[in-house]
Amino acid sequence: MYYFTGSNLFGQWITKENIIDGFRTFSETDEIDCLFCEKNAKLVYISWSYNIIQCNNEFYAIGAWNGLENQCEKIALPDECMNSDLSLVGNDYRLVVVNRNTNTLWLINLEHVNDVKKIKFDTEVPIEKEPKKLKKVDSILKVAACNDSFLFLTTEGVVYSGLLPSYVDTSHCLGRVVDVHCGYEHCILLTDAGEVYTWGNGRRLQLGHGDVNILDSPTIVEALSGIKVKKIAAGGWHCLALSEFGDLYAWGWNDTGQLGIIEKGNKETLKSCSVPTLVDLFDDDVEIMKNVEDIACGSRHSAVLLEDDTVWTAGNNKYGQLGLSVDKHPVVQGFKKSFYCKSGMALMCGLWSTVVISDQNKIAK
Amino acid sequence: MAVNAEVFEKIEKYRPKVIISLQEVEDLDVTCKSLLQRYLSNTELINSSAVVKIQAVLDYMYEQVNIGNWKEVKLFLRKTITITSYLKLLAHIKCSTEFSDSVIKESFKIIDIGLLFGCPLEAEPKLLKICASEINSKVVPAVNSQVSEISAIPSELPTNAIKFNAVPVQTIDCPSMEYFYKNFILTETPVVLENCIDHWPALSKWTDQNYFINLAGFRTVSIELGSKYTDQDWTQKLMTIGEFVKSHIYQSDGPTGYLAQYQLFDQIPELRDDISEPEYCCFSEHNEPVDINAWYGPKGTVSPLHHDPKRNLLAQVVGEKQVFLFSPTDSEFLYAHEHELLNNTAQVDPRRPDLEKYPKYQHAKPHYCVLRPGQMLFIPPKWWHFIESLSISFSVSFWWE
Repeated sequence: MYYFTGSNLFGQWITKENIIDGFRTFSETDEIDCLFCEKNAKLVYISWSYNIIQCNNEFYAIGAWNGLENQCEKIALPDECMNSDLSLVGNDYRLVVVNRNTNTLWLINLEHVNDVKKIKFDTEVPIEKEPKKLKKVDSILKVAACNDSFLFLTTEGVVYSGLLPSYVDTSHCLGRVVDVHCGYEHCILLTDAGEVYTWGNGRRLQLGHGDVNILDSPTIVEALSGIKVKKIAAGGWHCLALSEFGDLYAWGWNDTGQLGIIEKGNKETLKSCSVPTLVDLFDDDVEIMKNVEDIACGSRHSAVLLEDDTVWTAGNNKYGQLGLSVDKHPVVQGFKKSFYCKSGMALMCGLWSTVVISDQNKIAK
Repeated sequence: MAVNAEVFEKIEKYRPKVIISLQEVEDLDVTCKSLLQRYLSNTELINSSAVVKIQAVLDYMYEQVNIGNWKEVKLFLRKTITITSYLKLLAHIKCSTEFSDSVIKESFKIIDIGLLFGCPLEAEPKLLKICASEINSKVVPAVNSQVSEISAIPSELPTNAIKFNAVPVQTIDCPSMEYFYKNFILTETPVVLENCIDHWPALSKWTDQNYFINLAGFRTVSIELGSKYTDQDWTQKLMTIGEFVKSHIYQSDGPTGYLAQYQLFDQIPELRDDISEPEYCCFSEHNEPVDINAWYGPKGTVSPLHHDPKRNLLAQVVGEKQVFLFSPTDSEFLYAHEHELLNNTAQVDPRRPDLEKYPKYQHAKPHYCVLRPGQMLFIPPKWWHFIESLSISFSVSFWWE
């Protein structure tokens, strides 16, 4: 099942309140909630103003849609998409439908939903840059999107960026690329060797190289080399990384405490981190020794799931995204326990929301 | 009619123009656009739920304008902030039952944040400033007596040029336009001008710091915190002028606060009436308006050694500042920071030059002066300058090309 908290300004979680400031779930008896509860329904994407649900081969937009609020509309997809393996992401301006079988993208303009643009995705890699022999047919494994940033990862570990996807040279990366995430203006990738690379805008320290430089190509995060990283996440201007031993690292902008770090003896000041910094969790000043199992970032908040099924959140809580009372905790500095989810499996964040998933079948691939 | 209803009516008059200005944010996403359209066209719809949504658009736009370089932020995003701030102000006054101090304070905060992050609309370029004046006209000024004893604190004797092995900057008495142009602007020579701003009301009014509290204590400004902008823990914070004067001018337990390079006169036109643009600024190669900035802070504010592209007249209104100047030909002796963001800033501190670290500095030729109230310093373009306040200080800079 899904347990969610945060912005419901446009009815994207179906309930009435604008702000949900405590994790809750759908009632299976409520007819409208059913879409989320359908056996095959999966939450595939959380945008600022709408959620996308996939049910079998159909997609639904819930929330703001077509200039109206509190909508629940089936998205009209191009005929060619019928019975294909699709993935869907979006921002405030367009939806991007990805056909994994044919490597085709359709861009649906949200202002005029009938305005659909088709882009054929050329997955060939320049030969001089990729000496390894490639499978002829390489299909899209994952799409990451945040605002105007888009990243595509293929099953062969090749990365493309942008709405007109252009090849990102990762030939210098150690290992094969297995995951990509992007923030408002930075990108992060993970390889199967456990190495982390970042690129994009570093003005708010989000690249983790100890400076504010802008980088055009993926650059290894030195402070994490030697640590085998198994998961990564990108917020608006910050990043999280999780090591194979369940240790959590954070870096980037910390204006609302989104790094979850408490400086000992100095609880007031929020300090941004220019390099990955080990994050310790405290419950009433007692350090929690449990391993972190999953991580996720919103635009200015972070969430982690521990092995004991507790969810901890930090950062901006203006819209309830931390699952804590907005009045009592407008911002939270230092991760705070906000939920216990029996058999919590995974986390997902929207810009201003957090979701815990407790059922393997509900996790979108 | 109740005062807040009166203010609402005055501000509401601009609504048709703001609706027209929605055309200027045509590029905005459809969700935000229809939300603004809906509440602007019918203020009856504004309820507590609408207030949350309007605030959410503002918060979302705040995130959007934080993406990328500030100077390259798309105008329609900043215009959306202006429009949404106006709508928030309307909603705020509509939903309040009286015109209390807290309502006024919040109104100014809405306006000032709109002015800071937004930008003018073509349909009504002065929208938020007009709203501020409308509210101001209904405010009965409270006389602040809490901290009245202070006028500018006399400073200790300023250090002199000899100590720094420096050449004193020439001082001349209110030169003619022609003389100033020929001998200083054309030759790009720094000079201290006397008796040029004696007629400014600011010279007497601004010595009483309560003047700012009474005139604009509720207005929000952006304050630089930290001893200088090159420091690691340097940061900026929004606070009201009242809070700034009380916690950073009169006393300073925490970091040094500095209202630096701030377009205060644009925001608070009443203060603009206390100064006037020096005639010397009319020697301009472009027809662009002179860039006027306020520099207000306690003793000990430091602008590290740097240079600017424009000509600068720095008028000292309250207190004293010591200034070091270096010709552009001295650049190689001053060790500019290598990073692109700081390459107009030098690493040397001319007060205590570290000759082991910066040996070439010994060849540099510092020019030095202490600026006193009523004096004005001409800094030619590209001249390096280091400025430190020796007391509570208020300066006004005029940049032009």
